This record gives sequence, C-alpha cells and structure tokens, in this order.
Amino acid sequence: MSIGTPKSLTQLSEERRPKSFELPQLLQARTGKMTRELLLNPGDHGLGMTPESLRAETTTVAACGYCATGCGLRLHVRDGQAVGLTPETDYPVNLGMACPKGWEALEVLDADDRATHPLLRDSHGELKRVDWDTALTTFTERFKAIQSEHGNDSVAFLSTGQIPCEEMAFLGALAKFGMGMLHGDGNTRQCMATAVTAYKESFGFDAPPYTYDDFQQSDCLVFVGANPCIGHPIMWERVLRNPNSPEIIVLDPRRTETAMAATQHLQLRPKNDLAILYAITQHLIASDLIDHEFIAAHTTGYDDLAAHVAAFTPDAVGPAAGISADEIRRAAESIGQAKAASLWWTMGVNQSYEGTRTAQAMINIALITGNIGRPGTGANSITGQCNAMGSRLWSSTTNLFGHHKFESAEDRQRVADILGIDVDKIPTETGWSYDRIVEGIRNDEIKGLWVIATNPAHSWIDRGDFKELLDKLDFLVVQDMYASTATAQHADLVLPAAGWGEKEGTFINSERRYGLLKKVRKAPGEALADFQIFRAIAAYWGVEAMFADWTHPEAVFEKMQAASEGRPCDISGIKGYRQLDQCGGIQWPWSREDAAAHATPPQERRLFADGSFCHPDAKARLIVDNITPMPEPPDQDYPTLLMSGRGTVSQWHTQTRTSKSKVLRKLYPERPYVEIHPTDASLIGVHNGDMVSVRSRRGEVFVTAMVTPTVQQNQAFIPMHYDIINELTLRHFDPHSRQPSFKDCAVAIGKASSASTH
Amino acid sequence: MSTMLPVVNRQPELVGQLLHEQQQLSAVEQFSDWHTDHESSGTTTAPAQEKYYRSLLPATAPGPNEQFAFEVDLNACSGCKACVVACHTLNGLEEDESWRRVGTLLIGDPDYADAAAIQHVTTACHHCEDPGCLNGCPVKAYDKDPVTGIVRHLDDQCIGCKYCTMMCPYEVPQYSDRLGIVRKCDMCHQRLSVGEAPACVQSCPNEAIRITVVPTGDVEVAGQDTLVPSSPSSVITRPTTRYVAETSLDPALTRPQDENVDEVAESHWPLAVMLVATQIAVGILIAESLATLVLTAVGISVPDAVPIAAALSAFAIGNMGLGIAPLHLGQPLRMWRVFLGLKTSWLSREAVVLGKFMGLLAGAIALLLLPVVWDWIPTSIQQWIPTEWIPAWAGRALLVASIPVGLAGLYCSAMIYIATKRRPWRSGRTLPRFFGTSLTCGPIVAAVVFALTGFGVTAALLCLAGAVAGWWKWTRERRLYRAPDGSEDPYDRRSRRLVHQHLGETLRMRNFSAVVATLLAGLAFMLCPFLPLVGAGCAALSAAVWIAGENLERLLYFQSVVYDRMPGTL
Repeated sequence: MSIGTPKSLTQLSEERRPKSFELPQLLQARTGKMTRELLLNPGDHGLGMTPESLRAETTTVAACGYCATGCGLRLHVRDGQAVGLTPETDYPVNLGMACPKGWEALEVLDADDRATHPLLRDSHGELKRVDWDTALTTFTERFKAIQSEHGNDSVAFLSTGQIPCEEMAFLGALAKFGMGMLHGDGNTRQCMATAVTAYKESFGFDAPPYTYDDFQQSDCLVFVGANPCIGHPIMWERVLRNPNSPEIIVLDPRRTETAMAATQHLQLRPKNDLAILYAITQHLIASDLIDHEFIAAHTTGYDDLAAHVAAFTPDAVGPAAGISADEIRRAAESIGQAKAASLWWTMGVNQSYEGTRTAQAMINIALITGNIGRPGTGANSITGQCNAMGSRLWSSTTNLFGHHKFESAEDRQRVADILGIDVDKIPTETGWSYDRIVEGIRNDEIKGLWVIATNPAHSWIDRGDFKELLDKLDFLVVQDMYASTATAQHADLVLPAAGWGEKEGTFINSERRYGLLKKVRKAPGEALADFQIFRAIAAYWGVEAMFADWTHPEAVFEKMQAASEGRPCDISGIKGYRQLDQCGGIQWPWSREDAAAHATPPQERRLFADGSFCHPDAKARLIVDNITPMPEPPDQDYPTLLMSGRGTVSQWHTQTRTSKSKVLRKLYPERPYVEIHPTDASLIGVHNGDMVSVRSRRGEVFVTAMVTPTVQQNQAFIPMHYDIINELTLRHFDPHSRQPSFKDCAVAIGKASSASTH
Repeated sequence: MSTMLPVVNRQPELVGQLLHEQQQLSAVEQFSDWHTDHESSGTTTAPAQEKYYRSLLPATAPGPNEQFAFEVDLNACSGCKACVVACHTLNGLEEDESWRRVGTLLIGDPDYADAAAIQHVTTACHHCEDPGCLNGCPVKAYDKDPVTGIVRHLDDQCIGCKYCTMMCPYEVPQYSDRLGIVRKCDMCHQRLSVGEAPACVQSCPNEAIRITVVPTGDVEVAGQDTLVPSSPSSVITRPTTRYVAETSLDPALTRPQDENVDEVAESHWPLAVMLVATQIAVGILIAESLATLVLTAVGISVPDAVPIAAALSAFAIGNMGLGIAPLHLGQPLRMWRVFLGLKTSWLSREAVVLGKFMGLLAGAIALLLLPVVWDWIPTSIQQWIPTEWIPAWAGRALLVASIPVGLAGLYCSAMIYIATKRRPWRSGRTLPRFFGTSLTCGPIVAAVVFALTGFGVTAALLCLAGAVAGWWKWTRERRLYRAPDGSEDPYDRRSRRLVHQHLGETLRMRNFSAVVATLLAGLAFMLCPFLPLVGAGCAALSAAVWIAGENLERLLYFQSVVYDRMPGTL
C-alpha cells in the first residue's frame, strides 16, 4: 500500500492530512494476529485485493450449475484444487456478477451429508455402506431380475436438468439402448416441458430464439409469469443495462420485485393470462399494429388466429381477469408500437394446465408483430435449470438423441450410425412422461426406478401420494450428491455422485450457449461422477462394448457434434472443449460452415433472422385454443387460491444444495411461510409472524404467516423450496406438455392453535 | 423373455480405475494454463472488475469536513443479496459471517387502492458521524478514520464485552465465538486504499451501491429522521449512508417484513449477576448505616460487629458479582485497558467507579477489623501500622464514604443501558429496577446482621422496609407484563409479547419468587422481635429468594429488550 499514490482513496497528501493522535500499540493494539486474519493482499490474475482464503495460483472459468442463466464463475485454484471463486469479469453472460448461489457454489460441496459411499438397504431396512462392486452387482441383478419377470419396460428412470449434456446422453443411451428401458423422463418435465412443446409446435424445433443482448436492445419487454429479479437476477442485470428506457410490462398476480420495476403491471387474477394475451392479440389486430408482410411470408394459421381472438376483446376479458380493458389496450399498443418488442416467460406460464397454449399465445404475438429474429425481439422462454436445455436435446427422453424422433426409422438409423450401435436397440416409440411413469408405479407397471440427481419425494406434485408410491417399488435406486434427500430416504440403493466442480462436461444455458464445467475438486470418499457411474453400470450390465469409446465427456461431446450436424442445433463447428473455454461458451448453432466463415464465434447470436422456421414449409404456426377452466377454483370451503414459486434468490429447488451453505441460509426464512393479504389476515385474526394452518383437500400444513399487500385478497403464495407445499398441490397437468400445474389449488387458511404448531 | 438368472459382468478393476480417475484434477491444468497465458498478454495491472465499478467510486479521498458514505439506489436494488455473499467471500469471513444484510419493506396503503410495493434494503455499517460503537467502547477498540470517516474496529484491541452491539442501533458489530471479539464492516478500507471498490459495490449486478463523499457536521438531524421507514432514529448516531429513491417511501404505509417478529435477546447472565450483586452490596451498606444512625440517634449503641458483618457481606456479594462479570468477556486478558474509554463510555466509568467502591469498602473493612485482629498481627508488622494516625471513626467514615461512590457506580451501570436509547431500557424503567434491587435486598440482608446481633426490632423494621420496597418494585415490573391498556408504548407491547411467547417460564418463576420472598420477609418481620435467631434464619431465606428473583428479573430485562432495527426478513 503506497501512501499518497493517486490511486489511493484513503490518504490525503502530507500537507492536507488532518493531525491525529495515536496511542502507543501497548495501549491501543492497532495490529496483531486478529487484525492480520482479515488482511487483504494484492491478488494476481486481475483479481484485485484478495483475502488469503481466496489466494489463487491460477484461475479457470466454469459455467455455474444452478440455473439456466449459465454464469461464468472464475475458480481460484491452488495446488490444483479450487479454493474459492469470484464471478468471471469477461464471461459474456454475467459480466462479472453472480447471484448468491453462484458465489457459494463450492461451499455446498463440503457438506457433511454428502453421499461418500454406496449405501444398500439391509434386511433390517437400514441403509448400510457397501463397496461399489456390491452396489453395481446388486443394481444389475435386481433390475435385470425385475425386467426378466415383468418385462424390460418395468424399469424406468427419472433424471434431471442438473447434470451435463454428456452425462444425459450417456444415461439415455445406456438406459434405453443398453438396458432396454422404454420409459425415462427428467425433472425438466416440471420446469420446461411446456416451452419445449410450444416451440416444437410453433417453430418446428425446440428453439428459444434469443440471446441475452435482447434484454438490452428491446424497447418493450413483456414478462409473463416471470420474476427475473428473484428467479434470474443476472438476466435482470441485463435488463437494467438497457439504454432505451424500455417499456416493461409484467403479467403477474403478485406485486413482485419485477412487477415493481415495470412501467405497466397487469396484476391479473391467476390463470387469466391466456385470455389477456388473446385480448392483446385481438387489440393488436383491431388496431392494425401487426406486420402483414411478415405474417404472409413466414406464418400459417393467421385467419384462424384472427377469428379465434375476435371474441377476446379487452372489454370482454378485462373485468373477469381482474384488470381494466384500458390496461390491456395500453399494453397491446406498447407492444405494437415498439420498434423491438420481446416477450419473456418462465414458470408462471410453464407450470400451468394450459401453459403450452399460453406460451404459444406469446409466440403468436411476436410473430404477427414481426418481433422475431431482430435485436431486442423474440418470444423467449427463460429456462429454469442449468442444463434443462441440454436435457431437451440429449437425454433421449422426449426426443431421441439430438432432437431426433424415436418414431422415425430414418432418425433411428442416423443415430444408430453415429453411435455405432445396432438400430434395433433404439426404441421405436417415445417413452412415458413423468406423470405416466408415476401412474405406472401405481398400476404396478413400473417395478424398478432409477432416480438421478433429482428429489421427487419433495418436488413432485401432490407428494403425499407419491411417497407411498415410492415404497411400492420393488427396487429404487437414488443416485445423488447427498444421501439425505427426501427421495434417498426411500431408496434401496444409494449411489454417491460427484457434483458440480468435481467433473467435466457441458451445460446449455437459456440462450443456447454451451458452457464448460471444470473438474476442480476431488469428490468426497468414493463418490463418482455420474459419467463414471454410467460407465461402470454399462460394464456390469454387460453392454460395455456398446460404450467402448464413451471414455470421457469430451468423447461424448464429439458424438453430440456429429448427431447435431445439419440440424438447427448444429454444433459441428465447435473445436472441442478448449474452444468453448476460450470463447466464454458458444451458442448453438455453430456449424462447420459457420466455423469456416468466422475465425471466432460472435458472442451474442439469435435465431430466425431470415424468417425461416423449422417446419418443412419454413413457416411458423400460429396456434390457438379454447380457454380451459381452472379445475379446482376457490369455493366456500376452500376460499383461497394457493400459488407457488421461487422464494428468494438464495434458494434452489428442494434445497439439497442451497441449505448446505450457512451464509445462504441466512438469506431466506428458515421456516416455511405463506404470503397472505392483510385483509385476509385480519379476517382470521392473524398478525405477521403468527402460525397459520393451510389446508387443501389433500393435506394440511402449519406455516408462518407473512402478511403482505403484494398478494391479492383471497390468494396466497408458498415458495416451492419447502417440502410442505406439495402436501397441498392438486395433481393436474398441461395436456400437451404433461407439465404439472403447481400454481393453482384451493386452500383454507386459519389461525393455528398453539398446540398444533409444535 | 428370459428366465435365466441375471448375468452380471463384474469388473472390480474397472471400478478401481474409475475411482482413481475421479481423483485426478488434470482438467484444471489443461484449462488454467490457457487462462494464465491469456492474462499475461494483457498489459494492465488493474483489477479486471475495475471497468464495472470505476463509476461507482469518488475520484479522490474526502476533504476537510467530508467523509465517505455508502449510497444505495433503492430503485436499482432488486433484492438478489449478492452483496451479502460477496462481502462474506471477498473479505474472507467466517462461514456464516457477512457485514451486509438485506431486509425487506412492504408498502401498501390502508385500503389497498393503490398498487402495493416491495422494497429490499441492503444495509451495512453506516460509518456514523457520532458512532455509538465507538462512544460505548471501554477500551478504544474503535477508530474513526480522520480522512475517510470510516469507523474501523481494532480487532486486537477488542475485549469482547459486546457493549458496542448494544450501542449500535443498527446491529452492525457481530460477535464471533471463535475469536471472542466483534468484527464489523470497514467499508473495505484496504480496497479503497488502493483505489478498489468495496466488495458490495463491485458485486452488485445492478450498480445499486456506490461510495460517495458526504459533508459532515452541518446537517441538522431531527428526531423522526430515519434512514428508511421503521429504522432507528438517526439522531442517535448520525449515520451517513444515503438511501436514494425516485419517490420517497411513506413511513405511514411501510412495514418491515419482520414486523411483529422479535427474537429473544441475549441473556448476558454474567452481567445480570454482576448488576444484582453490586446493587445489593451498596444496599446493605445504606441499610446498615441508616439503621445505625437511627439507633445511635435514639441512644442505643451499636457494636462494631454490626458494621463489620454488614461490610463483609457487602464485600463478599459485590466481589462475587464483579468476579463473575468477566465471564461475559471474550478476551478477559485485555480487560486491563478498560480505563481508556472513560471520556465517552459508561462501561469504562462503571468499571472504574465500582472498582473504587470495592477499594473503599476493602479499606473500611481493614480499618474496622484492625482492633479485632490486632492481637493476631505479628509485632514486626504492627510497628509499621501508624495507629496513632488512625482515629477510631476512620473505618466507619470510609464505610460511609463508600456509599456515594457505590451509588455513582450503580448509576454508571444504569447509564450503560440507558445510553443505548433502547426504549425498554429507558431511565424510567432502568433506574427503579436497579436501585430497587438495592432497596429491597439491602435491608433484608442487613436485617439478618441486626437480628444475629440481637437487634430484633431493627431487623423486623428492615425486613418490613425491604418487603415494601420489593413489593413496590415487583408491582411496577408486572405492569409491563400485564394485558395492554391500549395507550401504552409500542415497544412495551412488543416486549410483553416476546415475554409471553418465549419467556413465560422465567416470568412465572420471577413472580413466584417475589411472592415467596415477601411472605418470608413478612414472617421474619413478625419473628425477629421475639425470636431473633429464627427471625434471622427467616430473613436470610427471604434474602436468598429475593436475590434469586432479582436475577430472574434482570434476565428478563436483557432478554425481552426490543428496539427499532433496520428492516429484516421473516
């Protein structure tokens, strides 16, 4: 620290420095052991002043493993291991920032409930440590025995959006082509299935068209069922960097942080979003704020659309939806008059019984106003999990490896050729969706289940019922980082998995960017990367020949590249992991032709600039449907509509990871709570902080009341991170995407007697 | 479908190989090499992050009558709390330690006609112009930087008395059990000293926190001024943080998310014991002196045994209390510097004055005992004692002199808490409690002494006086914990709610002990004139129960304190 250098902000030049008297060190200890504990040192590698705990010999960047924003985290490496991290300054996604989860990404690897050894349930019903050989032998024997007794399709898997593409690819290929399973689905069904279905039907391919730069370039951003301030704070960072003072329109039943920042908040009654979007469409058409040329050249179905929405006038829709017709008209005009309007949605749309049509209503608006393929435009699904996008392409669940179709002989042959396997090994039909697999357990069609990196005993809708189903299984395998998850408690066999930071691979973020994971930590005990577990299972199952060259993640990445070639998701031009690392990730598509034309991939690219979509006629479909009534509207006995969603930035999913960081735990309420309106609270004599009972037709829970005017009367909100929420939820689904509709069920809320709260 | 036994292709050696591969970290070498090369090509040595925070820092150090301050743009803050975790990480703090917090305000008008709002409030040290922590610190472990105005904590000076945690209205200093000291935000002084931005400033995705230069001294602060609605009055310490918003928050419509949610505060039990013990010690001396004065006035001579016994019990009890008090300190070995804060700290004053009190008391005991123990003193020492210079009344005089010093010490004790400006600790609530303990237990302990020396009526009257004082004190206390009368202080209401929700057991024990002790004192009152020894036993029992009860009362005093705070969360 040089005194009086121009850079210093704490020192004045000698003559201007005020006179101050200092006691001697003996009387007033200004330095010493405790002071030195917090000493910062100039950090190398452009890190700035750094505490000893973060001192880096070198740094390397990895994509974050929580949400699909896909931030670049700069790992501080010492003696080969990551000792800490800071957000990477130059990563094109996060521009030097991260949310609390990202900052604490390494901390949760050290939790003492990590699964460190395989655990097998013994004859007394207790999970006991076994070696890998026993675990893998049991896995193989039990699943093969079930298959030989009940058929190959009696064993299924439930996977995740939290593991890298290469592991998803391996799992799908191993389970379906190697082990002969037919049914497998991911927890991505709970978050993104609706967006997938909507895009596939409308664009002909599951293709979120945007890049994050669109947040910065838009003149009018419409957020439907999205609260990026809390759900995706680093995307919100990009919105705040928009220099155009954009119009921000938010459709949300709650006054969320995002709604607060909006220029127009349409605080609708829940599940009126589709009607309002149709009314906006109707008003756009009626006001002729549409792009006739684009519609004619690049879409089909306009006449049906116009006819369908004709009845949805703002005046007809507004009152029932809880907003005024003028608000709808104003929103429509803002969209129609913007030079570049973009529409964004998240779980408020996806987790709905008519979510697919709602997403498509947004896609329709973007299409008829020509807001697609240009900077600042698009109908854009904000993805949830870090690799939900990878799951959509590579998991061989809803699609065959690389967005191929199980039903297409041509596609099966192509995949078989690329993977070097017998085409007969590939199932000829798409397997069951998550909810159908659950029903399969109920109907004794599914007898064995393999759960990888997800926690359905907490997260599945109406979980009270689901936990009983888990115990019905002949054999349940849970493969997870933590042996303590609600689901692992029911397992017959627990396989200990390495986590983020302990393995390699790629994630695809929300804007289609492949980001790289790095292996910077040793996994605890005998935990293995999911990739390695799959290799071992392939060997024990006796199909190692089929996976002989699936030796490391990058080898699988090359197979993915081959499978993508010539398709909208083409990544054949990427020069391996090293180029991904150098470029701060690369968005798909990046074909051989692209690579030949450009030295390096431009960092922000969007789709459909030429108006050419992925249907055979290159035109996008305008899809409309009838409004579906809410299956369990509030009534006299259950007068409150219960919604759910993200609680705070510091909580993730079922909290298996975020609850392991002490500093994150300080950032959210420890106990579950319900947000209720002050008027509703006073009617039942409840004050902020009191215990209340929340009862639905399926269960009753006791939670703390958070009395807040940000929810509307007769509505309530419980965050999804507390497992009690799914004691209440109603099991119902979007018919097109089979995604659960978590955010609408009827409950009754009452003051809890003091006896029931302990 | 096959009916054969399942075939398992066991390959333990492959498992061994996979486990080995899992422990290899070659990927780091492969990629970090490139980063190192990449970096070395750059010529700048400034931190990479500088391009984002450059505009969030002032260009130079503050000038005269200026200081640095945090400025928070409330409109930009979206509540992500990255600042909290970045502070934790970039300062290398303990697992759950961060010097920043984020609370939440909920805004809605009473009839909910207008749209409601939510406002997150990030808060750290406000580097006050008149810092409570610094003023309260008994050992000068705080320092307000003369150039920047940053209030720094000297970790190696701190004795871990936690008084700053009471004096800071914003709950900024946080105690660490591992270190036995508090630590707090220093505005990343070390970073500012090389032109870098504080951790929170450089980690906010929305650029909501910046460092600004603010004028000092010339801004009038009014009693109702607060940093944000519901936060403590800015009059107390003159905080410098600026919260800016396009439209200011209306306090009438704004509630913190943790409204009505108060946690049980720390019990500070060694302090409770110390306070009660020193108060009793002074009380004994007052009671004995007054009784002796009256007896002497009516012509009854009081033997030396009475003041000696009273002084010895006062000394024993007081010393026990002062001996326990250091258990409260995280770093008791640094306590010797406690006089440094005399100028501003009531804690320093208490320590020094009560020390003098105990010294005077010890001297009085020595003088009073001198004739008694004279014969046991070796002659070689006797010759050094200037008996001719020591008048007979000297012991009594010193004993009487110790009383005002003791009272001053007790006043300092009370001021320690009154100075925090926490409403339940206001003088009207603190002084009666503290001096009430003296007036209750002092006479009853003194009664034991008088009864044992045969002054039955005096003892009875002292018992009566103690019981009356105790009953008065207890009734006053109970008013705080009874049902609300509607017009009372909101802090008292919160305090009572806290007591009934979480401290009911302590309250019941306190009440029970007060009733039992009063009954025992009544019994002693009746017995003393006739059966002085039985009466003495009864009074001793009453005193013991009173003392226990007073300790419970003091735990309630500490644990049920509520105060304004920065907005929190559920």
